Parts: sequence; C-alpha cells; structure tokens
Amino acid sequence: MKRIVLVCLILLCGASLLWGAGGTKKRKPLPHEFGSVLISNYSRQAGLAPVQFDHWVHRKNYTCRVCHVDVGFGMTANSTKIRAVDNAKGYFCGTCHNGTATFGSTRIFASCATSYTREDYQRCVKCHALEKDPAREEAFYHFLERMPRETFGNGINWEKAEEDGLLKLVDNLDGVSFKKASMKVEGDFALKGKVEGMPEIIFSHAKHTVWNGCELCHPEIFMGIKKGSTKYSMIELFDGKYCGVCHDKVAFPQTDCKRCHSKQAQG
Amino acid sequence: MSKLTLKANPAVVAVLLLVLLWPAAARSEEAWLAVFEQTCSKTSEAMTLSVAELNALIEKCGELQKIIETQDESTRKVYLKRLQMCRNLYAYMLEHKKGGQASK
Repeated sequence: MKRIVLVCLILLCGASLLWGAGGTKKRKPLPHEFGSVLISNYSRQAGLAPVQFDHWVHRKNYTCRVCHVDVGFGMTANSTKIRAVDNAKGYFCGTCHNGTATFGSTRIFASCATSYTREDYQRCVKCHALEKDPAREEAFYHFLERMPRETFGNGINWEKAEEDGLLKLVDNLDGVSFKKASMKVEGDFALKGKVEGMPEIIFSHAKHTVWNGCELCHPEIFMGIKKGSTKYSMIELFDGKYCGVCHDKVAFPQTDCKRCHSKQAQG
Repeated sequence: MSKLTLKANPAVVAVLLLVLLWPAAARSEEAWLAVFEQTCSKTSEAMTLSVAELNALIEKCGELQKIIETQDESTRKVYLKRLQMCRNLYAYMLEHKKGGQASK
C-alpha cells in the first residue's frame, strides 16, 4: 500500500514538472469549472466574447457519443471551428439549440443567428459570456447535491449516477442519430503497469462503449490493432494522448490512480 | 350511359404538385442522406461484419465522400467528419480481421 502511495506521489510530481516545463502554471479547476471549454474561433471577429461551454450541463443529459459522433463536435477545444452560420443551419450547437427542440418539457433556447438585434443579444450572452455568471456556478452546486460524490474532477461519480438511475442519458437525437443494432461489447482486460507494485489497470470496454460507441475511440485515439502492441506511458497520457484525450479534461482526472489501477493483488 | 367525371380532390392535387415541383436537388439530398445512414449505421456491429461486408462499406464511404464534397460548407464540415469516423472504424476492423485471418 505504501508503495502505491509513493508511486502516486511520484506520478503527481512528474505531472507537475511536465506542466511546469510547458511554461504554463495550471491552476486546478474548481469542481464547477472542471471540463469547461473556452471556444474562441470566430467570436471576437463578430464582436462577441468567446463561448464558455460547460461540459457538465450537457453531460448530465446526453452521452458523449451523441455530441462527438452524431453532431460532429471535435474532441479538442476549438478544433471544430463552429461558425454562427453552421448553428443557424441546424448543425453543431444549432442541432438542439434551435428554439424548437425540447429536453423533457423544457424548450432549448436558440443559438446563433447570422445577424442579431439588441433584444437577441441577451440570448447571445448566454453562451458568449463576458464575465463569470454566478447563476451557472450556483446551478452546478445545486445539481451536485443530488449526485454521488467523487474526490477529483467535478466531484461527481457520473458512472454511479447513471447506475443509480439519477441520470438518464439521451443517446439518440431524432433526425440526427441512426437506428443502430445493439452492440456486442468486448470484454474487460487487464493492462500491466510499468511500475512494480502498481496494481494492473482494468480497462472496461462496457463502461466506455455505453457512452462513446466504437468510432469515437477507434482508431482516432486508440489505433493499435493487436492487444499490447501500443505501449502507453503516463507522460503521454498526461500530455493528452490516449486516455488523456478525455481523462483530465472532462472525465475523471488521471491523478485518481485507483480508478484505473484497480486490480487487486492476488493474495 | 353513365358519364365518368373526375372530381379533383384538393389534397391529392396538392401532393401531386408537391412531388412534381419538389426540386430535384432536395430529392437527391434525401437520397445521399439515406445512403449515409445505411452505410454508417453499422458501426455498432462492425466487429461482427465479414471482410467482404467491411470492404463494401468502405467503398460506399468513398462514393459518399465525393457527394458530400459537393455540398455547402456547413454540411461538408459535419458530414465529412462523421463519414471519416465511420470509414476509419470499418478500415480499422478490416485490418483487425485481415490480421486475424493471416495469423490463422
């Protein structure tokens, strides 16, 4: 046990050094900020502030697959290059934020228009927020109260929340998603850690495919065909590769060692 | 002798007019979207598809790409990305299957 704690400490120090080497001192995001993305491709050109996108707001209602496969959002900030005209045509944010779509009984507010009036501007600043909105922060903590807790990230155990029926994620958007056959899920497998004494990683295909499908991860993130052919290192993972594409950014952080290195030693 | 009279039902006339006047472009758009759905809706069962089926789907993706490239910028951006994801998965599975066959 002491050895595991020591390894975790070394990894944490390593990660801190890596961040330091990058020349940017990263502040640990607060629970309500975790997973937030600043989208700023064309906003300033249009005289608006960048979009403050809260992942948690969307994650509580939809699977990752719906947005990142069916709607077509990229997996890294600003890679999609969303334009107001795309939204106005009913793509990207405009797929749901079109003023007519609903979630449950709530109508989803419309997103961008290619031109806007002073009255419309109030709607624009819902996403193109100049300043932090205390109401958004408050909404998060209100939501958090009902969720199973987790130490890291935004403090929510999303997996358990879904298991407990607290969240019922939408995995199909009418007119956008396809009707698909039920998936034959690959079994879990173990990956041996490089550091002696560190428990093996148990990778669950089932846990990942339920939210992501297949094409979100293969082959773009995980291209290895044969099991064991790709050698992963924690440095690469902390650098945003492989598991690091989601974990640290929106899924639980990789500093939560035990979530992955979970195989109990045979005694 | 009875006289055959045709009474024009306004609803039928409206449907007929709609079909006749519906722009060909809109119909062809529907057509490629249907092919797109047919082609990319098999990603969840990609593991169970045969080499021949995967090859056929990849070929279909190639044909679709040419059509999508002629669409407006927004449509192109969304559907080329979606197509790339599904095509790449089929290619990945194909490589996996071919690898499996070679090692047998």
